[in-house]
Amino acid sequence: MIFDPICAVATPRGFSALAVIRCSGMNVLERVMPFLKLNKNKIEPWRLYLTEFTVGDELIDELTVVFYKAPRSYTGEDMVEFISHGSPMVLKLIIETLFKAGFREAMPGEFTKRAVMNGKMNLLKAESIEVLINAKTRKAHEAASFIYQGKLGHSIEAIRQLLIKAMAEVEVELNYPGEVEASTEAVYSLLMEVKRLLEELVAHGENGIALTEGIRTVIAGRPNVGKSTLLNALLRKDRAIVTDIPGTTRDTIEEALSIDGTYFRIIDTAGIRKSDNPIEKLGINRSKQEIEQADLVIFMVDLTDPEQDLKLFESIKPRLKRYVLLGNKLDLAKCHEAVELCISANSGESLRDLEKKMLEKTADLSNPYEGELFITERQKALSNRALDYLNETLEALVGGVTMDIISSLLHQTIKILDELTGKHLQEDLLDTIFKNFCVGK
Amino acid sequence: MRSTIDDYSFDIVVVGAGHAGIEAGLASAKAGMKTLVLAINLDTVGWAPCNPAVGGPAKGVVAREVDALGGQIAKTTDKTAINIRMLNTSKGPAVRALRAQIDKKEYSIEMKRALENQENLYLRSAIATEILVENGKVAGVVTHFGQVYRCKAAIITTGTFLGGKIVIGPKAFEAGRLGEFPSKMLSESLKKLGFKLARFKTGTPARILGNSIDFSKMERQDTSDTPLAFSYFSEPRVLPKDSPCWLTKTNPRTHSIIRRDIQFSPLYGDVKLIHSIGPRYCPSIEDKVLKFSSKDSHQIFVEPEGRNTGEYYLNGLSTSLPFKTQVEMVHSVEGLEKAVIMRPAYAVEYDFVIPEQLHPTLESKLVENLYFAGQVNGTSGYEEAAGQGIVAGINASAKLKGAEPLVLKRSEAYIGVMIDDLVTRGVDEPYRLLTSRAEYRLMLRHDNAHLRLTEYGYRYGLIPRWFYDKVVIIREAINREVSRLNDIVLKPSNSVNNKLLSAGTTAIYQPTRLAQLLKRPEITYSLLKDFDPQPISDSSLAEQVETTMKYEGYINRLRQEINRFEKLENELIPGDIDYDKVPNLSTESKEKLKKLRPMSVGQAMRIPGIKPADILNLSTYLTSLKRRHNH
Repeated sequence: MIFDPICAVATPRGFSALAVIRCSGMNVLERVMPFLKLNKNKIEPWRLYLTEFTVGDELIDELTVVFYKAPRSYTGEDMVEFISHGSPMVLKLIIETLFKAGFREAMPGEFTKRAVMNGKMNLLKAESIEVLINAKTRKAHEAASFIYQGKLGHSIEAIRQLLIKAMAEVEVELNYPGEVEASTEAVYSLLMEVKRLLEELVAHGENGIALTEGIRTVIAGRPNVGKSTLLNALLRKDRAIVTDIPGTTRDTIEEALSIDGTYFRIIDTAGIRKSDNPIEKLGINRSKQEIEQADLVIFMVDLTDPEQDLKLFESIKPRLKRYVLLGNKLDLAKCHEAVELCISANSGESLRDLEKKMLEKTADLSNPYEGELFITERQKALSNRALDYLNETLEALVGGVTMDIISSLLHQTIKILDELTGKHLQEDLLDTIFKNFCVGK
Repeated sequence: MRSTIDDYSFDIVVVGAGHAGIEAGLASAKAGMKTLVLAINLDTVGWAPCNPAVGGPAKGVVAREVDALGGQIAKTTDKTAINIRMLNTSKGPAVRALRAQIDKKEYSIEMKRALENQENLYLRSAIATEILVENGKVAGVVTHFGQVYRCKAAIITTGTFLGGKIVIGPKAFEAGRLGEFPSKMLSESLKKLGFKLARFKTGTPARILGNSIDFSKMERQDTSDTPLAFSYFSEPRVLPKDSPCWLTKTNPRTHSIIRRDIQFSPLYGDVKLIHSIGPRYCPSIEDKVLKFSSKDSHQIFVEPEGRNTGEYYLNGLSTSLPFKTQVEMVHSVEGLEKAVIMRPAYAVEYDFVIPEQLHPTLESKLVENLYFAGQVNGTSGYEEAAGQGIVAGINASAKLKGAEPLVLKRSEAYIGVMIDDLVTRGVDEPYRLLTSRAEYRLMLRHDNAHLRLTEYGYRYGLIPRWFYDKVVIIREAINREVSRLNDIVLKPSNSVNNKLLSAGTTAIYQPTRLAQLLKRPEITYSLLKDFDPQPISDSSLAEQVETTMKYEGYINRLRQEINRFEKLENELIPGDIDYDKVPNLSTESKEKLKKLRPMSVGQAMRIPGIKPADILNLSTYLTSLKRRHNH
């Protein structure tokens, strides 16, 4: 059974004043009625009732209940929601009773998945809900809210319409030979416009992921330059083990940090040096990977011995998207002209300047771009795939590939966009998307 | 000798002898069914009341598909063609299509002969007035002479004749076509049986006397210099250049005449005689002028109607404006200044059966063993009609024999695309096949119709054994040649690269398989011969191999998608399913499913407005049914 009755506690576990239990599926009202002191025939949907939840003679809780009639509910199915006291014991007893009455526990995101499958919302909106719930900063909330309002959907639809226009040009010519001639230039310029929009979408789209998942910030440098000290200083707590033995940090350490409302994920890495220790070597390789994937690299230079650090920096510089070249140990030595900023991670001197620098360097990532943001890797991957197909189409067009293939490629590109917005749904795809959701949503 | 005793009892009665009726009748008779074909007028069997032409993009491919299934349209076209050309030659094999001008009268004579010579087939003149139904099944067809032809199945192919009405400007009269009786009572009979009918309109341009045309002012379009044939069974030939087509165009003066008199149009005027919808893809000249007001010229093809007639067809000048306006309009066109109009342009409005009332086999859901094919299903075009006709003929016979029906997939044939569109999505304007309707068009090509469909034609007894064997051999030869080209590795060298560069392609720097090289757009099979120790000489085979290689990558990607959907297509829904018993279906979807009664979960999914949740519920229910059945 797929749309069998499900239930779940929708509020966090633990003691609280109130809690919500959500139920959805077939015959939900009939299933919960035996436990309520209400007359089934008199119940109206979308109204709150105060009643008692009893099992046999035993009162479990006094609570309020509301019944939603399909399709006017969150999932598009019949639903019941209880607002009970937030006692873990009350919740446990109610849920156990519901299980006995034929409910099963909802899987993570199952309520939203059902909403998508019943046409209550599109995939983009559904994805934004999870991000909205988990938003850690004001800007992440803004990004999720843009998509929730359908703005990403509008941008994609605009691109889709351009593709359809290009397709129409091609099709008219194919179907009315001799009567109408499609201008290849018109098709080409339409596709170039699509390319521009898609590239913009992909570029700004990454910002959305940075906003919601945090800007990946890697602290890098040679051993014992003070990377772990800097991490602890930024977090204002002792997270990483700091010793004066070079190479103490063998694996990468990841921590979340909010600087003036912008969400950073700070990654402390093993110092880069030649090493024969196999474990340290693994760590060093990992560091190199992290550096390449980072949105921002803080490369640290030991001011007491800067030359080797600076040499290493020059060698990795071409692989960096954004960086801060930071001098450390200002408490022991003078600032160096080659670095951008000097601090003392130990004393905390000029730490605020570093934070400002981090914000400044990532300003392009943290400005939400209205309506053109992705918030999930799926959205990013599909947009990139659409762009790949488009580039293939453009190449084919320029390379003299015949129009029949061009029209087929255009068709495929449109289909990818439809998959992105959820016009074409696949069950296995939905499962992947919703498995990261919280239970009860 | 044919029986005279039992002349009123048949297996199958086909009502109508147009392009759908002919294929339906022949298919049914070839399948061994005693078949009666009824025509209102025996002198206009297989008539081409509009363009004197067969084929064109998508349509030409359909004619080849009908041929590969064992039909007649391509053969008769080859016999009676006076001008034939391959279209879209530079735009890729997938959209290439033949188009032939036919000698209209001879085409009709040849089609009548094909029916007359077919064993098991009886051709009679009559107007069908009523379908007899007993116990929910077809029992017979009644004609206006009062005869009752008993039968086990009937195929309705009445074209524009059901409730036909002709309109020229402010004048309207009842007719199936200009000068022919309409069929009024059959509409009533179908309505009484519960069928829902709606009305469409279509139009045809004026016919002009050739002697009155100044061809010197027009561009000449001759028949192809390459030998061509529509049918796999005909020898390709070069036709004599005695019947060219001519190209001219409308001008601002033509357009101002149209704008001036648009008030007298039965569609646009003050008194709207026509309320129905016409085809968007084959618009009247007034439609074109009003809708594309920025264009001050539209093309007109002047096409001969045959060798034994002086009449010419004005392709592109279809209209329902009054006769006086037509004369003025025609005279404003270059080369037609003194043209004599022999037959006026007219619009015809007719009843069609809403095609969602049909199964994908073209059998009606309301009455068992009653099939519909052609324009009566809301389509437009001879080829579309022929494609449905042969499928209806095959399926009616298969049903009576208890054999599996023929339902072509969207990935198998344009015919499959068309029928699926008709019965699943319905029509809101006369349906014409376009390449854009086929999502897998790279696979539905003019050049591979036999590879796709001959097996079906053979299975249903329409294709002779020798031809089926031939196709099997061709398929093997293609595969062999493809793997041979995959085995030959070309090493980069100066001489190789010089040859490649002079052929207009880029050099190679690594050992490259010939098959790989053939994938490049600028490389042809014959260019490869320089590097190939044993090239094949059969040029049509070489072309197949070339196309196969060039499309391989693209088609493999499409195949992945097709395979994903295949599972749903194969999940059949029992005919007696009770949708009220399917748990949790939304009311809206339940109504749609009850009305449409799709054959498979795949078809259900394509019904507009059906949600993914409904498909899951349906699929789950079907699985539980099966499980219960197995226990």
